[in-house]
Amino acid sequence: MTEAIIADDPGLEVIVSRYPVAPGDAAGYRRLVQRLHSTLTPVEPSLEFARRLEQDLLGVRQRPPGLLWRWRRLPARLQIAAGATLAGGFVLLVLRIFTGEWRRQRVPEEANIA
Amino acid sequence: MKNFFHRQRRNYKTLSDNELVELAAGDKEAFGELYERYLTKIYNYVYYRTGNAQDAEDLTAKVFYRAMSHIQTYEDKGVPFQAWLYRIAHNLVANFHRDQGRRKVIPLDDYIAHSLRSEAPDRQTEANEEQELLLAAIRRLPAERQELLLLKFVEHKSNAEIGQLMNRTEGAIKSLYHRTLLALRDELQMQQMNLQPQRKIKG
Repeated sequence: MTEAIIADDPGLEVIVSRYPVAPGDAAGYRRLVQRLHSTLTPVEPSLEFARRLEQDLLGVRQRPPGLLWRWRRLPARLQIAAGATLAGGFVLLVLRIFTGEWRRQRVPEEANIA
Repeated sequence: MKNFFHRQRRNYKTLSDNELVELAAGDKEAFGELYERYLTKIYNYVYYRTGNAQDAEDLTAKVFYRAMSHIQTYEDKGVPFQAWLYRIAHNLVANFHRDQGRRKVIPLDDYIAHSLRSEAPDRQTEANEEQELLLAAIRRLPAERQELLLLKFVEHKSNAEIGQLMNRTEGAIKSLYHRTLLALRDELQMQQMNLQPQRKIKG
């Protein structure tokens, strides 16, 4: 009966008559359910409140995402590849510096100037 | 390169609650989607359990703050995320009433003003009184019965869905609903009996 009242079902009388309830009792329940249906109606929070709370909760959401944030969202194998590339690049740079290649390349330039 | 990173962006609308919960621990946009899905539901629940918009806003905000800070503790053990959120709301409302109980405040004016603004004045007074009585009677019910009525009449949920949210069987909800209607009917009859002598004195 409740579902029929909530859905404004035109077949409500038929549904009520299916149950072995005294007519007085059925009418009493029906009145009560109808009162509940008209009293407990959905309410909407104010738009201002909804926006303010969203901003308070998710303020960071407006900030543009950083490189680390983007890296974390990559699939695992791409994270590994990106990590390996960075590490490889760093190693090459260090090797270049420590093997003196960096200096050797600069010497001819200095010699030309002299 | 720009397109590459954009490909990773998710369409949160298509994700289930559980997928969003998994992401939400480190991704505010995922939590934002959960917020959009449940703001009105939680607000309605709190609104009817407190009786005014101001308290409903304060408590709704607290529910979402608490959910955001504890979301990593949520585990899907057959209980939906929505039920977890309602549980937080239930606990906060219980604390609220415990604190209010010391002050004995039952605000209903907001609700009455909101729902009956358009009716004729004489009908409005009568309807106000009836709704006030009914809401007062509902608030005197045990918390789980109030929850059941709100889920059924405000959320329009079926007994099976309510059972899932309240961690009970469909049959148990059906039986609880029947007992709730009986209790409410008795409570309203008691109210009527108490009001009749007062009306006679006034008349």
